[in-house]
Amino acid sequence: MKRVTLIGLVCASLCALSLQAAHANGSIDAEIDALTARVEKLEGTRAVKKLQRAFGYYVDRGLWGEAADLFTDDGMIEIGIDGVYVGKERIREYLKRLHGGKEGLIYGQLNEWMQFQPAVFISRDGRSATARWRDHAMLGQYKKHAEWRDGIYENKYVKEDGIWKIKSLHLYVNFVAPYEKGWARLKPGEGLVQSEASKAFPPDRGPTVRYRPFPEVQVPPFQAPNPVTGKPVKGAL
Amino acid sequence: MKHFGCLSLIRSSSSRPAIEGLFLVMLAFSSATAMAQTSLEDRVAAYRERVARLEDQDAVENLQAMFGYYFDKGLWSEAADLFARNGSFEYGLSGVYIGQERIRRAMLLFGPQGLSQGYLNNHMQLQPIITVAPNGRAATGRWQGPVQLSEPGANGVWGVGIYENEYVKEGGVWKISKLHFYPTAFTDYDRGWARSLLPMKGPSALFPPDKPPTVVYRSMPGNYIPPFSFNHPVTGEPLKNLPQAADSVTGRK
Repeated sequence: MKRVTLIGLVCASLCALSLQAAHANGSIDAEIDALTARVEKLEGTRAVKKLQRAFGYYVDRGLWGEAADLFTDDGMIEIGIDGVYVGKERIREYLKRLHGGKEGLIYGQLNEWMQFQPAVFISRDGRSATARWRDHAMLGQYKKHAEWRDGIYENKYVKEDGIWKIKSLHLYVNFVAPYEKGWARLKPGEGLVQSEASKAFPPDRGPTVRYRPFPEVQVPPFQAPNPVTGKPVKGAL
Repeated sequence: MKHFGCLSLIRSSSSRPAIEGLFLVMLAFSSATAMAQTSLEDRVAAYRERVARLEDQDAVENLQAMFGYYFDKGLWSEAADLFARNGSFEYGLSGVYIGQERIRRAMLLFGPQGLSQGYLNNHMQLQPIITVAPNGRAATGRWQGPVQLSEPGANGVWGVGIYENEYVKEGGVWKISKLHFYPTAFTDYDRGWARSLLPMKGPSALFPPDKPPTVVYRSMPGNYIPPFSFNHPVTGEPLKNLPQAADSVTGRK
């Protein structure tokens, strides 16, 4: 009788122990799942930065196809007041025409589209993101003209089959200022004009917003809330 | 403890070797399992900390980037809201403003709220080196800051400088505890830095700071090396005895 009780006791203890172990493994599994999701967001932030920087490096050198391939099939690009071009083929053609219509740059063309100061916000589910970037560009054509450009990107990104892509790119141009005169001598309206490319090769849709360049004040709307107060921040266009 | 309780119960009730043997096996099994669990839990806990530090770093990068975006456009309230309760703001030789309300008003010295026609206040926030404290409650950041300025009726100005900032996590949210911009140079746009170097402004008479400047130095053509918040990444040593230029006025030797 005693023996039976003892064996029962031992079995019960073993059983309890293994249940305890299973429970611990269960919570460890849950913890690892949670950490994996967090790491995927950290990786997402880095993937988005790389994506946008690659866009800059490709456009810098006139690699229009490579730049367009960074977008989703229904991806959009909107620069200044040129309107919205939709889809890789239209984006490629627009970028090409915007820069003189050749593969690569033209002799003497300077086209540095610097991509600075990322603030990347990954969505709760880790499958999409928004980012604000600073546009700082050196543009020009040797012996003809030279400009500084200042602007803000507010972009959207999405992860499709594990690969981050640009869903929409919107560059709000604050000014394009001649190097010689600088931004301080810009007259109202001078700092931003519709490109000849967009007149000859009209966009799929008109500009989503109307705004005026520096010296008017232009605050591109913020997709992300203030990171401390959590409240939305309005733009002013 | 539970296992030892079992053991004494069994010992007192039986001496049969078979049962003792079974029990020892069980004991060995349970303590091995317990050890494995502890070390797995420890490893997961260590990973959790490492992931949290990376998240902290990203949050600080976003925080400073957003500071720049608000500051650029004269969104002084949004910018001031990024500071911690006793946060401080120090720009060049202008002195130190402490607390959100003082900082908000001090920023009006850069232009009206929301700016207005003809004002440009671009302060880029680039090239960060962010160091998060091991406990995840504080951080520092060094940033490179090109500047483009304009005021109605005045020439454009180019500037460049270094930020050495401190951050603190309050209630799970990263905030700026100290922002210190050390301008390196300002120059008139038309003349450029070979022909024109503009001095830094001193403390405002209109809205004096809470404290005088913490560091007094000359911008270009003088040289000054803002002290580094981060240790040398290879030697791991802090940078000491920086070769600062001697200055007979400030007394720096």
